[in-house]
Amino acid sequence: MTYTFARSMELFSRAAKVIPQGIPGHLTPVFTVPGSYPYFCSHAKGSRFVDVDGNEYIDYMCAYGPMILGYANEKVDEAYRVQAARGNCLSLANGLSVELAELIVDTVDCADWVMFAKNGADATSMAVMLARGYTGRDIVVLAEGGYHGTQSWAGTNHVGVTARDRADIVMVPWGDPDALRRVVGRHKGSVAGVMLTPYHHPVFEDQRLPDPGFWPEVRRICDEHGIVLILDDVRAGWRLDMKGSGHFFGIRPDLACYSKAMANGYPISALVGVERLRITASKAYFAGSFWCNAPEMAAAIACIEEMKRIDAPRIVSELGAKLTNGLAERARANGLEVVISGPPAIPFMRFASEKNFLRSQLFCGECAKRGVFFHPHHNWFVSAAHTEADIERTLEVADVCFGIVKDRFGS
Amino acid sequence: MVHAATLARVYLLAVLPCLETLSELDPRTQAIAGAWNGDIRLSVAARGPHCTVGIRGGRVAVFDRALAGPDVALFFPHPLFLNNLFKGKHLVVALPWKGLTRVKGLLVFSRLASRMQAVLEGRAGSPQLRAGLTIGLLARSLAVAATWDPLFKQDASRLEGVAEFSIRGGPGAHVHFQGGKATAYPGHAPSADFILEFANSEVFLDVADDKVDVMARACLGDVSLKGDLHMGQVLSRGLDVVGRYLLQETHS
Repeated sequence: MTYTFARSMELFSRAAKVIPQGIPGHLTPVFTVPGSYPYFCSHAKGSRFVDVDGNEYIDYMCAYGPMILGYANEKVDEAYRVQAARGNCLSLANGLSVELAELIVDTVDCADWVMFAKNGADATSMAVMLARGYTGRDIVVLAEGGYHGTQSWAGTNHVGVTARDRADIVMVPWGDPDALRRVVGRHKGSVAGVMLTPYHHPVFEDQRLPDPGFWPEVRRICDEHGIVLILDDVRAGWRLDMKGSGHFFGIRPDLACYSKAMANGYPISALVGVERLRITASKAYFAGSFWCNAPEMAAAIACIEEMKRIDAPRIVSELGAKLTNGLAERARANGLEVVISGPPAIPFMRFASEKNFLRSQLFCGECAKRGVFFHPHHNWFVSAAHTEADIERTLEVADVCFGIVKDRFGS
Repeated sequence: MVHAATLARVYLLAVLPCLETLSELDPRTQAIAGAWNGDIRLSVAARGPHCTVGIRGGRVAVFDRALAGPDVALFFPHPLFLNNLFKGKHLVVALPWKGLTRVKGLLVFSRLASRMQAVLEGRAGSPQLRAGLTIGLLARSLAVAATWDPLFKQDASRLEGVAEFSIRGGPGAHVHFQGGKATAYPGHAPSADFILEFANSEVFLDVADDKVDVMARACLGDVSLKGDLHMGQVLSRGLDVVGRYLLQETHS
């Protein structure tokens, strides 16, 4: 018996009349498989969520990253509730901002100071502005296939973005220090910043971990040319290393951006930086109506402390390894070959024999109809709330679905 | 931004071939074409694009090259002059290379073009006829834009594989992307990497006319997107580009 989605469809019919796309952005059902996936969630607890039709799923998207300790985590939610009862959006800064900043400076390797905002895109945009402000230069180098938000400079959106919006953005292949050196040489004296993710996590492609010499060489190039090195750790931050993914890969960036796992789903982000950028940061005006909300800061404090207490990166890495090893074994047992790339806690899986994702869409769609929520072309996320029993159940479902893929497409 | 030289290719290599489909399916077009037999060659500057429209026995064949020995040859020294012809503007400079005295051929060509425009704009013919014409037009225009539009070709050059556009139980067209070039073909692809399928002609025409929210319709099951959705995202941008060309807004 597989799931059906009548209530999701009914809600979507209403949504389509009042919201462009019905469900816009990364949550659009178009990116999964319409007909095989739920559209709307009802509630969630731990590693699982329940859709509006009452179907339950073991969730390997974790809200696309923010859920690290499990949905409705009692410690984080309680911290949020307590502060919400004491005041939310206030006319003055709350003392929690100091406490949270001190905690982050204590925790993250490259953090000598912290600035808060709401989303990862706020942090990456602040980073670009500070790099330009610090150096007095214009050009920012990004990696092809990287994601830093939907701002016009970031290159994700195409509606309403002009060539001028991107005039000072130069792209290089991720993981290629020679290409970076060439670009920096070509724009000698004009490059303000290099913004990279700690490892390459594009969509539709295998993820790439850095070669041993990559980050030291990037650091060297930036230092030789007075360029600000920005680490966009929004997606991977705190899933690899509590000291930051830079620490995990042995690199100390000048600026680093955090958000997703920072408060287990409450909206908050942080830009952290090294000492030499402090004065520039002190001159900039960054603000948003809700950037100083206190409950999110309380949630972030609770989340970071809990992640440290349980060593969340170790847990998600071990669980991720069990999941990915199990998937590879079950695929092989069904005569199929899968390619799994990236860190085990944030894996990406595709079928070795295809580039068009037709098998992935069938596999993930069939898994969804049986209560396991994967994404066909985006990396997955493992949380500290997943259990060994979740992984076992997932592998049972995967076994059935690999069989369906084999029946449809052959080995 | 619409690029004049690319627009000229869209007219010759994407729009004019609609006459082939039209003359197969539309008795009125067959009647117009039946009044003359001959070849009309259109060329833009020395380097092209070129195209030859052959009219025989009430049917039209359009070739994407300059065939030798046409009955009428029109030469446009610059793409803008050809574009003006298609946009119905007054400033049309075509050098009568050959056969301008064969007025009847030009008259038939002009009537065929008017019929095609009326069907494409929904002023004549059935929605099914218009859909059949338009799906081929979009695929060919996409191939032209992917190969020639200065901006879109940068995105499209990374595409490898086959994209199919089809109407459920109805006509389709597909585009091969390989090595930075794109070629459109009529009909369904034997094996496609990305498939964009519309539930029926009405849905397709609403999408083609930019009247509906495609993402929402996809979630409601009226539009199906399968396979390489990255290719789909790039082609979505391409179809926006194509829309600008087909709206004939040239700024060059």
